[in-house]
Amino acid sequence: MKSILITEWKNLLRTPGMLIALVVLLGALGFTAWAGLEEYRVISKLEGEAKAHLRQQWESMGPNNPHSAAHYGTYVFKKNHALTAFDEGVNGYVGRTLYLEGHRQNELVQSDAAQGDLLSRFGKLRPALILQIILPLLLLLFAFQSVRGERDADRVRLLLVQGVSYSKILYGKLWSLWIPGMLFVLLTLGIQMGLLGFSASLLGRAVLLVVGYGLFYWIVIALALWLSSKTEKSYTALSWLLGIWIVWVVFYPKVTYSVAAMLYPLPDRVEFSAGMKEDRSALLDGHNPEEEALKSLEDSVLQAYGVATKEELPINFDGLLMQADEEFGNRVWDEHFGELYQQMQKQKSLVQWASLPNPFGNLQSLSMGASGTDNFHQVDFLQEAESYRRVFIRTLNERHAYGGSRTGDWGYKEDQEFFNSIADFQYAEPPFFSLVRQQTRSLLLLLAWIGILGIGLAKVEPKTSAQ
Amino acid sequence: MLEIQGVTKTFKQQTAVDQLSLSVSEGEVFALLGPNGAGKTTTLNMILGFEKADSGTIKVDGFDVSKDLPEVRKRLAFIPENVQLYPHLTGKENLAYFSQLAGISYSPEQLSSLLLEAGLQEKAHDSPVSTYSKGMRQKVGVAIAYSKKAKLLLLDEPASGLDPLSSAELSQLVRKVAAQGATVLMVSHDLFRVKETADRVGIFKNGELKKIVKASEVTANDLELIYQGIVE
Repeated sequence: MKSILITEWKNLLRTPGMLIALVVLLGALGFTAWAGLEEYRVISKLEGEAKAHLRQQWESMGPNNPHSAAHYGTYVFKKNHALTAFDEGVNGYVGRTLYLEGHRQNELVQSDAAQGDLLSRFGKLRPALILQIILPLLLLLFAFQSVRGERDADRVRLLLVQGVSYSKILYGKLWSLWIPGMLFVLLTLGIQMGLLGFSASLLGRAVLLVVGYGLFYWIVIALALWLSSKTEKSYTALSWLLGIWIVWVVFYPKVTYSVAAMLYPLPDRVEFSAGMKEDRSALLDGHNPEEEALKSLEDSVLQAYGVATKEELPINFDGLLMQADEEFGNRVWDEHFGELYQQMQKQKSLVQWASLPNPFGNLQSLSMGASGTDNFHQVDFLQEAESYRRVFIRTLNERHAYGGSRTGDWGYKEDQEFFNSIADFQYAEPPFFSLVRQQTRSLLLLLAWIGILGIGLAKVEPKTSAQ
Repeated sequence: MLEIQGVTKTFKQQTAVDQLSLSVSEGEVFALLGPNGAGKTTTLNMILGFEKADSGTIKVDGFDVSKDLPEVRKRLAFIPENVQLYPHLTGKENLAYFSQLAGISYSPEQLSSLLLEAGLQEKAHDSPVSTYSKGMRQKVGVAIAYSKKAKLLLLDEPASGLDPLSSAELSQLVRKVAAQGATVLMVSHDLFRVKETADRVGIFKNGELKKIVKASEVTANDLELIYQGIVE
């Protein structure tokens, strides 16, 4: 095997034009890596400045009414790290920033299907784009040429007479292309993580990326070797390979995402907002005391405190009212979000199963997932931000209610120390094992491909002359 | 060394080889002579294990091709009409690779010595094979056969397309291999080259071995007349 590897590499490196191809590939990878790094730096700088500015504003607002502070609002940011610079994923479409404010729940209207459709139009230039599309295409072409070269030159008989098996030759060719392919992946990840820093969690994610790309490259090369060995004519093999590539990368994702979106439709942003608004108005409006629901809340609080009017309460009823309004809003959001999430899960499941004949779809899912830029991470970020927003608003409303003021006292103010005690939002990505669980299906589908192609390569009969 | 008994091979109801029986002993050079489509190359491919005989047996050094192909291949070397090596590798690198595939590792000096023995000039050893003439490539093919210490050497039209000088050199090399104890079976339609190289000549027509002639007992003209008498 070692001698096959070395000979294949010598051959490859001495092939005319190979040096140019290498330089172009390295240049493209270098450029995309640089673009990712630059964006990472710009975003980190802007986010840092924005966070500092917002905190500074928050800590210098002085004595203020807690509910007024709830309307101050703040921005929260999704994680930015070496791997988000590696694979942009859905970030380019759904954004990385959320605005949090009292009575204002964020929408979630970007589905896998919607994003998939956008993704199939190719995203920003990032190393993942080169490593998912350009490099595998080159590996596919080299694998094709490697087998056809032997056959067209009628060298196969000469090789086999030496006593080596055909499957050993094919596996030698496979590893001789797989290893350089993986070197590009490792080099890119190594440089990005080396420059932007890494943690144990990021290392785990990087390992998952390496596994995903490793499985995919194996599949691409094995498929090219198998097809090139099986088909009679060179152009038949090449047509098949290019056709499969175009279907995998361009058509199939588009079709599956469109079918998923058609079978499990989601409301658009306007519909979603209108539905939320309608349901919310049917419940309670904290700023409109005429509502029936308000009366019910008021009665229960008066009864609890054993008083006849709000003015007699030892607390500020307005704070409770606003919190109740907030919670009604939360309930509406949870309900709508739940329905939407169910639909999105159905879409995701369909897209994943439909990816069985398309390992590229599985790689894309793995790459975005491990980089923290897929829809799973987007949803997690929204949920975490929403949880923070709820605690944040409740803290302010409860202060308004129980801080010492009475009902109707809108001039009540809390000192700065109280506001300073409220911590900023800190987002932690989902743990590694939950990510692996999320990606198990993609990994298993890739492994299934490897099993099938592995058997195919071991059993393929050599064509011993140019045909 | 090579025993062929009652071998028949048909392709889509067309008989390529019909009831072939042949025995070639150690150190002997046997040539299969015949026009295109006579079944010579099919015979060679069956010995190499690339085609399966419909009936009959082929044995190399006692090993049955249909049952013990790996053992058979350990014992044979093959030089095709066009020895297609890796064009971007040097002659020495090609030889090293093919011998490694056969499970033998040679030092650079040993590789050079094998190439020299096969008649390839030293200055060409480290040049890419893409710069070689056909004759030079055939010599590397002979060196590959030497390197394997094969007991049976099979040649398929080895001198086709070579200039007379290179062709004569190749004949000498083949004789040298046989003199060292190897059995040689060559397939050709070059009557004069066959007369020069072979001990015995088998004349093929329509898949049948029509006649076997001892090369030392006839002149080239006699052989030509016999051949024409059978083929035409």
